[in-house]
Amino acid sequence: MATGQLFSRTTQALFYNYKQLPIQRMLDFDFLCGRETPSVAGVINPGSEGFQKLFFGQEEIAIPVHSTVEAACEAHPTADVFINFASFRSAAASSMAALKQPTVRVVAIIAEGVPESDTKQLIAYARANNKVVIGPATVGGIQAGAFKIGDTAGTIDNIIHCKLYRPGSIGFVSKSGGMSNELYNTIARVTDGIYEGIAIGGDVFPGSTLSDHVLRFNNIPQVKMIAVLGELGGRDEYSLVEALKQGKVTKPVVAWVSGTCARLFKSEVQFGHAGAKSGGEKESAQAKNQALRDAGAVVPTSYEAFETVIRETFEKLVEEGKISPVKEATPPQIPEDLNTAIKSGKVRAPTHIISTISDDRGEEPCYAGVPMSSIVEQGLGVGDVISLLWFKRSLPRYCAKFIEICIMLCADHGPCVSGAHNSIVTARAGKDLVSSLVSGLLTIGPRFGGAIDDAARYFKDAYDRGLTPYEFVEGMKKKGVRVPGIGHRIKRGDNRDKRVELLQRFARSNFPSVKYMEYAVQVETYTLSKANNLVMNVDGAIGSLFLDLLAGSGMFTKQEIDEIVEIGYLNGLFVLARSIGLIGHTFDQKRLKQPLYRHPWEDVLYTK
Amino acid sequence: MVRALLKRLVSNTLTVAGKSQHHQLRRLNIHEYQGAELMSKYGINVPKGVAVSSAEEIKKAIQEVFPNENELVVKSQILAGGRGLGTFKNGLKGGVHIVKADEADQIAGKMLGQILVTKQTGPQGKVVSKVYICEKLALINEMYFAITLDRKTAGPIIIACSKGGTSIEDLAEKYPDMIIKVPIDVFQGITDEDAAKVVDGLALKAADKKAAIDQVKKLYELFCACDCTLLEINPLAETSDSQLVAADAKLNFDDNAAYRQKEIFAYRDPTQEDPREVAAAKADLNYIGLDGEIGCMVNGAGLAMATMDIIKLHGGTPANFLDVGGNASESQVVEAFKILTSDEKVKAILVNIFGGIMRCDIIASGIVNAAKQVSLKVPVVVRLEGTNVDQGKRILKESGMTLVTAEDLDDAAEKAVKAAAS
Repeated sequence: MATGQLFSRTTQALFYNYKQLPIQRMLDFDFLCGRETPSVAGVINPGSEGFQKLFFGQEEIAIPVHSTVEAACEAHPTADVFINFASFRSAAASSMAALKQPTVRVVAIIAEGVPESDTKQLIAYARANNKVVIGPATVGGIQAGAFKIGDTAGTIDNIIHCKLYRPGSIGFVSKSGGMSNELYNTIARVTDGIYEGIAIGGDVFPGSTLSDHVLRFNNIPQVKMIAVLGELGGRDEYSLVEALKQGKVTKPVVAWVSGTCARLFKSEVQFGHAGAKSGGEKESAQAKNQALRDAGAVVPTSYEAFETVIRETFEKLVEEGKISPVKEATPPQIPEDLNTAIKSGKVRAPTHIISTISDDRGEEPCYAGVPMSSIVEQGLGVGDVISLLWFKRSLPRYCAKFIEICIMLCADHGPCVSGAHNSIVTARAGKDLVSSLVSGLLTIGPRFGGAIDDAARYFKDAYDRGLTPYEFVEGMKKKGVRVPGIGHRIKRGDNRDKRVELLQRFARSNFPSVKYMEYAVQVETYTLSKANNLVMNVDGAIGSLFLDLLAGSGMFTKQEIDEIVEIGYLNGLFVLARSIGLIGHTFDQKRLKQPLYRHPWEDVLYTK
Repeated sequence: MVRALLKRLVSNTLTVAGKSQHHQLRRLNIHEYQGAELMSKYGINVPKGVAVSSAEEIKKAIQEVFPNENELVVKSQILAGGRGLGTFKNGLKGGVHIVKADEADQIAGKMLGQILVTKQTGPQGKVVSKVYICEKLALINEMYFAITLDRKTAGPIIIACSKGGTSIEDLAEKYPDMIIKVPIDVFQGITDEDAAKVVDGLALKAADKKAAIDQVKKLYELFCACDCTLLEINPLAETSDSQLVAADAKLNFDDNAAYRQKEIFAYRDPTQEDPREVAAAKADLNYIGLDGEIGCMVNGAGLAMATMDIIKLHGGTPANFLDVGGNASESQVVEAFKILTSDEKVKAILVNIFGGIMRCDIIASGIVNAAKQVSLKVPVVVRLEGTNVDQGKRILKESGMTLVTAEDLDDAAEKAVKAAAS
């Protein structure tokens, strides 16, 4: 066991088992104290390597992460404190690994519940090699203004409140971590503050004892008085009594042993034989308080009076001129974390993305405000989901049904069209599903599948302006633009496209009005009079009928309809529908294990 | 039982550290017959015995195990001491009887399913669901033997005495020179020399020394393999046929090792435990029932102790020890209130919280919500200190609940004692 100061303003630690909060609290404490280097040199996280980003004041720093204790010690030879946040199952093994490193001097074990036989080995090894174990089952310790272990002393507010950012004159040691918080508060109130505080932890066999630390405090010149908070049970306090009697402690000691109430515990009657071999009464709080008092410590009559005797003892030291006044410093403000600041309403930050169609933050996702469960319970379909996500409203069932029919009709059109062909070639090149799908989708545009929007645009413009089919078609001809939605490679006036017929039949019996469609039919009648292949194709049917859907459902304003046609919603229908087919073609090729496609030479005209 | 008490009392340190690996620290006590079973598994000589749970089984068990015995010992199995001098609620005196073999079933029938009250059980007693029937040994020599963990030598230590049968305190007083202590090197384990030293100290009268050394080593093996914190054989006896026998044993286990001693911890018998403690354990709270009138809800065992000390100083008595830990959730606080209010002895509740890592405002809203969910019939005194204490106090004040707020610990204890008395 070391005999003097364990920590300084340059002490650095290795932190076992990464925990963001305690490390950040240590770094915030460092900043508060004006340390130049962070007190955590490295992190050990079994099985992972790299860096962890944390804040050191305003700045972000990267703390190296190592996968083994040995690697961390080699990388940070000046880090001599090992803070072990491992679970009680693995704390003993990792602590032993740390103790065996020549660079590690102090090991603090946070876990509660380390088996006692394991702790015994740690203690035996530490004793033989002159190292210090703090814990297990401890929050750690703090040297005011210099170094802090993990969560010691709680939040930054509490640390500032207790003036732990600068050294005072009191050395404090207790078993309980929770009570050390309470005592830091008390000591700050009635003295010039803590110099060093240690919680030795609540295990039956702590790695270092109350008296170990009292003797150490006695050797630290800056510590002028020592406060000790003991507890019933065990014989630790008696080694302190011995030390006091032998005159080994020259500084005033103020002490209190909690647990005077313990006689009320019914479990006391179960007092075990060996535990009692030294006499149960001797381990009671009353007996220990008396023994400490007899040995010369200042012991109050109750815990509440502890504060008073600390104050009186301190004031006596001041009168004797043994306390040099503390240099007060104003600690710097710790920049608040953005999230905390926003939560408390102190700052506002602009968002970078805006979204209006869905929300996944609640108990279940919502599409345009409609929760998923209600969509499923009502038995809604894909058409309704498209209504919600694309148009942000629930459309009447016939509209949703129409959308679904459009998707079904456009899902595929055989392997020879450019989209399917591209997907097939890509799949056969051994590419994955997404690559195959998008290579097909990328062909969709002005010549392939992109005509629905244009059909809707031109039909709408012509109808709204009141052009006769003759004026419309001839006007387009003059401009050199083919009428979109009219014309088919194979179909003829006497052999109409089945899909167009299906759509028109559905609309006639379900839509309140089909004026755009009727207009398109009139246009078709005129174009058929010019050539037999100028029939209405599926793009023309969907385009014109969608105009009827938008205008006839009464769910959209005029501006909204213009916007929908302008943005190109209707092409979206084709992209969505055809994705089904393109995925199918990709799977088909993969299932058939088709080899790489190579276009035959014979099929290419090589020319100059 | 200071050890167990201590462990409960200090279990706060972990939660204060804001860690999530909180696990319940409850002391494992095993029945006598389970201890004998465990020891014989490790090759240690124990009196022959059989445990039965119904009178019908007894005849058959006796025929099988003790076909030639004239006398048998019938022992009621409860997890408390003082059985010999205890009294059953049905009037039967004594929880341990030496009877003729053909009367064993009769006396066992009077014990099974009955409540045995001893000095250690409290007036409510404990139910006997098994009796242990053992051979009656003719002992010619009684000695003392124990293994425990020692602070000074930082390792296990064997304590032996050539006299035995009474408590080690008495032995230490009467025969201080006959007690020997043999520390065992924690890394090396027990050596033949260590075991021989112990056997020499026992000063055997009849038993074979080699066999005795072997028994000592087996006892040490059991101590290590089962994560014992105490293994006490008292008396370790020599029988008329020169056998060394562990006539009575006390085994304590390290609760911390529960995770790697599944088999031993499966011996737990919840029917022998305080139902309030069982309920608290389920909610991951540390609870110890006492007999006073002030219910205490505290975060941190150290603070719990200070709180109870001060209640006592002001003339009150705590009804319990309830530690919600440093990271209690609202549901845990509600559960704590339920346990506190279900105890009819509780006349007032004292809530004493120091917000170190936890913030007082969060604690306060937890208390207010919990108090709303549980109908409170007794006054509640609250003392808050620490981070965001002002906000916390404001929440309590604005809650409209009839909560008594206290300035400091002293004030709180005084108010709670007064409230409980009125």
